[in-house]
Amino acid sequence: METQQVAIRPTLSHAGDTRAASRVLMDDWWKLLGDADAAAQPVANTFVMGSLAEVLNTFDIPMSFPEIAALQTAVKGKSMDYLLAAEDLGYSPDICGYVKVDIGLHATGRNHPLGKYPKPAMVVASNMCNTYIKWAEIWERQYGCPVFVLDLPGWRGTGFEYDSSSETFKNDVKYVEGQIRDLISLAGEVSGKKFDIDKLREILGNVNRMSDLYRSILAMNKNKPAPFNALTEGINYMGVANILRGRREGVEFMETVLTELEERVTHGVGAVPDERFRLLLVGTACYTNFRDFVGMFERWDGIFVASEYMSYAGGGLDRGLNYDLSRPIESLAEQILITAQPSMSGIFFSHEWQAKVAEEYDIDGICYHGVKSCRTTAAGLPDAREWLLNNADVPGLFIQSDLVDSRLWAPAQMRNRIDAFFESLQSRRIQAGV
Amino acid sequence: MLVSGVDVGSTQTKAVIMTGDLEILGRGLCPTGAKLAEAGQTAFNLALEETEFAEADVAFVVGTGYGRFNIDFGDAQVTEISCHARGAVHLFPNTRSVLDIGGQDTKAIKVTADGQVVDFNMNDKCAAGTGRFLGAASDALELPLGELGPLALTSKNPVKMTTTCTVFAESEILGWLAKGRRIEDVVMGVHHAIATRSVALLRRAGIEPEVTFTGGVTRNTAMVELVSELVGSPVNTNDESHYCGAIGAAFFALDQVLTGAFSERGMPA
Amino acid sequence: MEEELSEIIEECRTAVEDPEYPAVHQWLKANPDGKVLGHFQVYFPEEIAHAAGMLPLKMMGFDSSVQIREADAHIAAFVCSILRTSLEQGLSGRLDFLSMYVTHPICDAARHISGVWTRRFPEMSCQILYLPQNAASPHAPTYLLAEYRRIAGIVEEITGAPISNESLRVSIDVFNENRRLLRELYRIRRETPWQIGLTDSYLLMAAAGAMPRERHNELLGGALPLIRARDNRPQDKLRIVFEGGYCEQPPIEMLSVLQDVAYVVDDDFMIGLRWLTEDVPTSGDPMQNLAVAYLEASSYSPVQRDPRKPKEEMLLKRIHESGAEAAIVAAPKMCEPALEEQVAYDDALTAAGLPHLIVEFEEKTTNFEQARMEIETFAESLLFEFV
Repeated sequence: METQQVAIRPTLSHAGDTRAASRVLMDDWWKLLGDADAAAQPVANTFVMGSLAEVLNTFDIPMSFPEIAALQTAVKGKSMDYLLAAEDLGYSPDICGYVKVDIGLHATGRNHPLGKYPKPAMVVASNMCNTYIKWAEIWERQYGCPVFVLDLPGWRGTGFEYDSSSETFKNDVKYVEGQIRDLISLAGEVSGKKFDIDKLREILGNVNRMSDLYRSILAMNKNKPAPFNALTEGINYMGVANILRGRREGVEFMETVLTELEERVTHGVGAVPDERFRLLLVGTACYTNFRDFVGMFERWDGIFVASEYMSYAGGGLDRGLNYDLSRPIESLAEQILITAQPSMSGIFFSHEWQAKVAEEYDIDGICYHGVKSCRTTAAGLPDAREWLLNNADVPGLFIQSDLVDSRLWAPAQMRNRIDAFFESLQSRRIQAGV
Repeated sequence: MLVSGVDVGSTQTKAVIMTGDLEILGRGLCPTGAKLAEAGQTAFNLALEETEFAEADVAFVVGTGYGRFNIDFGDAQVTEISCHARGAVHLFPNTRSVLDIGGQDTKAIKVTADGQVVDFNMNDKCAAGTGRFLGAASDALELPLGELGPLALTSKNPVKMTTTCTVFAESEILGWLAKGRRIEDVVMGVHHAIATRSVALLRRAGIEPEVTFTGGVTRNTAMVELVSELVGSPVNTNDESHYCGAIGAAFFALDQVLTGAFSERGMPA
Repeated sequence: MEEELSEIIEECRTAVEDPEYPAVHQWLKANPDGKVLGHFQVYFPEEIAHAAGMLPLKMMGFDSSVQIREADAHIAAFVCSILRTSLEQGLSGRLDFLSMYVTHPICDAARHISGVWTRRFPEMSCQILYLPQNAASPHAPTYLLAEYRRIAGIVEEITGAPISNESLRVSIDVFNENRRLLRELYRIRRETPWQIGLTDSYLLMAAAGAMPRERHNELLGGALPLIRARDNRPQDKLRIVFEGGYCEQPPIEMLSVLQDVAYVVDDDFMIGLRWLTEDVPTSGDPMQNLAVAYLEASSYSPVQRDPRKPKEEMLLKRIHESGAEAAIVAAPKMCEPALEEQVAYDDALTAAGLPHLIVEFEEKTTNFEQARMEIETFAESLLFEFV
């Protein structure tokens, strides 16, 4: 009988810290929202891109993130109930599923699987996704709440870089700064609180720290094996990064993550036991069948070492936010343009960013997952994929399903494409003699 | 020494028995039906019957096609993308692009000279541009599938199909007929819609000649003509094209026997 | 007289429907050094291009006359038809005459146009014009003026022609004249809809985006008196408003189904051509006047956020001002902004007691039987109700 070699995974003292912390923080967040709703305290609805959590937190207005809430219904296997409730009201099968889950939640008593789903007292919606604005208008009609649109002029074309001395940049900053001042007035009215610039300063300082930590976390995956799965674990990091942006607990969470990952790297522990293929995920995941989706990659020992999602949904944390605390409002306007905004524009001119990440993280292939729900992230994927293959020799897999609509999940087709992609990566390796 | 490839497709199951000298000794073909495992065995048996050998003489069997998920037929499984690539380069050594219009899925594959997949593109979940679209037309018109191609070739003024959905194909087909359009023009319109969408998949990674057309639809002469026209040069097909996936699978089986490539590659079953 | 009118309409039809852009090529022949600026739906301040001697060309989709061969390889499946068709026009080489292409991020799908075009046509200047989505903000006019100046700077670079206040005023005059004529055409539709059918009116209007404006002014200026002079008899038809044509356009054949059944007394087809609702003043800073007009004297669409113009209220206003009795609320297939308005429109029209029909269309549809039946049934049900 052959003796089998069993790799012994070292016992890590920080194993599970992140998971435990994120669970507690997420529970606390839902409790906060439920308490606010019960006490009829104002809650703000905002979005992961351009949340302006900095301002809302300054006024201690609890933030509800309907995108995160919708994602969570899908992971809990409940999204179809809400989505179909919205379609019963006349919403089309061809619009964003997140919007429909939210509409369904509001139409059926606002009972989210994780807690009470609050009514918005105000909305912050940026133009980083046009659907945010359409979505906000639905609440505006339903609840009569004020809607603040943060209008961020983005990059004007490919290769466009902000030059802080240019007229365009100065003009954009002035526009954004004016809007932020308007939001400060609105948040003051809604919360009944006075604006405290020192509190804003403190929050901006926390965001700076979170940004540093977030960047270090992302960079951890340049190691081989990669210590975390940018899809499964990355979603957790990002969820907390959004709901606790600018808060001390957010900074502490990022520290917990980094400590756990550093320990994994020190001991050479990878997110998958036997890492063979390093992938970049472009687009979002399929949350209705999240485990199945991830499993189709893991059975090939494939790991997502980077994800475009962690960039654009990270509110600029990945780009290096560095607020100047001596002039908080002006700096907030500038930094939003310099960081969060290029992240968003990076979706549309994604090939440049992808080529860079592919090199930095030594990526074997890119998985482009087009979701019908999200034209913002998905409409241009086939073109970007072709460009990367032909101009940077990075192979790409193109698959389609949805974030929250399980009707678009076709497991046999999905697995067939994923298997074929790995077979081709395998062939590439054999040819290259690796 | 013999190996076998068995391609359990959504409508038909194909099997070949191949020697170590790359000679195909037997071919088997049967409808897939609902019992996938049985179809695999039936096609394999039919192929074996064409030879003078017994099942025990076959050293390794690779299964491919949709059915490979549902059966444990064969000793290993490989996707039909890899198999069609491999098979096409064997049938036509100058192949650099492969188009397979299958019942469920249409695949456009870019390959290297030795049959490795460089890139592939497939239809979205919707079945427009796949063989099933032809099936829908055959049902709506109550014409056998095999008659559609020859009928289409008699068309002088094909209609422009606009639906991208097999579910609506029937109503559009009947709509054209109600408008007084000739049946061959409607059938040609259906062919055109499939060919256009299929060639669009080829374009996703750039069409590199020669283009080899594989799978069951290669027996449809109208489709071969249309695809050639859209590609801009004649595409390769022959009698073996129908078996291309099974042939590719047999090559993977041979790899295993000769070099143990499967275990080395660690392709998960 | 009818002959003269039908010649005008034919010239417009060719400009709108011919995917080879004959009117552009004619202009290029007469202006061998001329440059063409393409701009995607919905609105672009064409005066800026015009003032530098460029020909502004509004990107339209096409019906089944343009077959999609290449574009599907570059855009995801769940995207509307006009994005594919306009890209197909580029990929097929039919738009090789463009020196500049400007898009505005009207929707999440359209925001990808610039990226795709830049990767495919690296030699073309692909620009994004960020029109304010916070249109009611007090900071919007200053911002927009600077954005217009930025675009003007690029136009000047490409043409080598400086845009002076004087040249811009001349251009504004040309476009003011055009808008005045278009308003006049729509007045006829409201007041005496039996004098012009929907398809003819549509072609006369849409051609504005597909040919030099001066030529369009001539054509429309010639057509309007001829239409006014027609001696058609009013018919007993339902008066309706069509909503949902602000970007992708229904095929002409669908419009003819509509005109068979009803008088379409107002609509939002190609609303960008009629976005500015009043004459733009030429005194003072003309660029600033253009920016202010965009924000303060303009129409509405599902792709502009302006809290002063709630869409459902604007639709009700359009219905009341045109004396319509009913509405068709349409959305192009896969058009997220239009689809997202449907429920709000439905609720508002129901609350106002206005009969309405909700439909989806696609520019490439060739089979209208279902649409015809729906629209006819809708109209009949209302006519019988009134008896």
